[in-house]
Amino acid sequence: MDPLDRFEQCINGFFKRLAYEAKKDIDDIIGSRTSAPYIIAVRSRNYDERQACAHSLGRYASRIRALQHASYVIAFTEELPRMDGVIDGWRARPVTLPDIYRALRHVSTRSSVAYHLHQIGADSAQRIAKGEGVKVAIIDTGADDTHEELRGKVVDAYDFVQMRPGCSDPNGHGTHVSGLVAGTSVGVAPAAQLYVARVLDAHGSGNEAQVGLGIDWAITQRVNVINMSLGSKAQSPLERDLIAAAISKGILVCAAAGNEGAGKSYPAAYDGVLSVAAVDRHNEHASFSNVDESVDISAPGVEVLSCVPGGYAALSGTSMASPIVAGSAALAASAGCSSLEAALLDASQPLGRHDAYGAGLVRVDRMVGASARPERINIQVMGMHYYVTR
Amino acid sequence: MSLDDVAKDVDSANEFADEKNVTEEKIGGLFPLPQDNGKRTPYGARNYIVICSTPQAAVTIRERLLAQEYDIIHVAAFENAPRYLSLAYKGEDRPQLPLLRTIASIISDVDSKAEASIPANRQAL
Repeated sequence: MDPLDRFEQCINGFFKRLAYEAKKDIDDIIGSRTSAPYIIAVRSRNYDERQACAHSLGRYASRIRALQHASYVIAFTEELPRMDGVIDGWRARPVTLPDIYRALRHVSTRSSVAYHLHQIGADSAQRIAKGEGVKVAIIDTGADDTHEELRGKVVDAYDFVQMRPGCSDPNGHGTHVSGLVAGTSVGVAPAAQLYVARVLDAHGSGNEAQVGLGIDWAITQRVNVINMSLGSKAQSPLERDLIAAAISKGILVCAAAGNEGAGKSYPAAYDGVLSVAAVDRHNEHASFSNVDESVDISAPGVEVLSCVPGGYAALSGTSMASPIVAGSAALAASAGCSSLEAALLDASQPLGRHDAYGAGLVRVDRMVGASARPERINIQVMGMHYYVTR
Repeated sequence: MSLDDVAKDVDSANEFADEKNVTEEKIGGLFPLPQDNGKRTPYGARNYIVICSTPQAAVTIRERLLAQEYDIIHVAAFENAPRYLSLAYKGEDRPQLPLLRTIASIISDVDSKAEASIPANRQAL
């Protein structure tokens, strides 16, 4: 098989599963295929740098493009020998198609599609800590602990819908939420330990008794953080009392602010609960995210990529924003950060009205003192025979 | 009251509720009748929450209910909210009204100030 056909097959096999914006960029290139035998990828997280790089390489490549949504410049060329001057001093070694697959898979999930990680500084913060030893309870629809993102992450689970031990997720919502906390590629704190309480059924519905049993179980498991991406407008004395018990034991409780656009949602609006609003990738307030005085902090919540049973999906909701804050707390805790709620609020990036954004965008890099360092440009020549890198 | 008695009583109890269009009546003076979007659903709601006046009352009530050997209910205590009990029904189409009357009498014997409520709904966001 022609190497480009194999390459295309390889990339498409992966991006069919994801079907996001990086795919569009690469489809454009593959769509106008060339007979060029070499594929060149230049990696940089800075789009301006990628554009400059594309310009400098352009004279040697038949097709070249700086990807907008992935940290790569990709080019096809037949003239690798003529590029010696450009790549002079770079070390070459053989590469295989699986190498290319792995490289693009890593870039596509981590840097482009899973935009939330970069937006809150998780990619920088993960150089310092990843949530090691921190226990996070997910009170939700369950979780698919066989998914590649969650394998080995779920330490214990109980199904309070069917009143038995277990961790299935016939809905998928809880798997997505769990992935945002501790997913290998899409999670803020990939080394965190998950404790999953299934309290919502296959339709995503439940009641305060089931939620209460889940909170009670989580407290007994001595978790550090509880995430509740659920709610309604009705208060519950049971829920309120259990949350007060959790907070008195030093547990941070995060909850979704609500998707009705305005008003209070419980448990988010109880005293002591960190109510999380949603913003998009440009830090604009999500139209569905509740505006209310109870809002404490914001996180990405529009088309956020995470795992679902059998694959991946980009979902929107304050349900997605809340676990991003919970994961940030877990990461910061593993880095030695104490007083997690105060640290989350103090480190946040102000965005505007408090009832819409709370203290602002969660910034886990600021919590752990990680600065976003500019990436150097690495040049890789990927073809049948060469892989050149600095 | 045996389970046979419960079975005999259930039809008349439901006929009564239908005839009277009961929506707010408390069963045995303790349990609100379950509702779903305004429609009476005596078999639909599987959970009640009971708030006792003391943690010890909750412990006693739980023990008394479990001792009744009604295999159609589950009584859960909350370790971190010790005044609360959750009554969960294993089946959705089992007779509930007579059973709830029986349960109510047991609870009232132990704690006359106990209150029962239908759990508020919660939805994934």
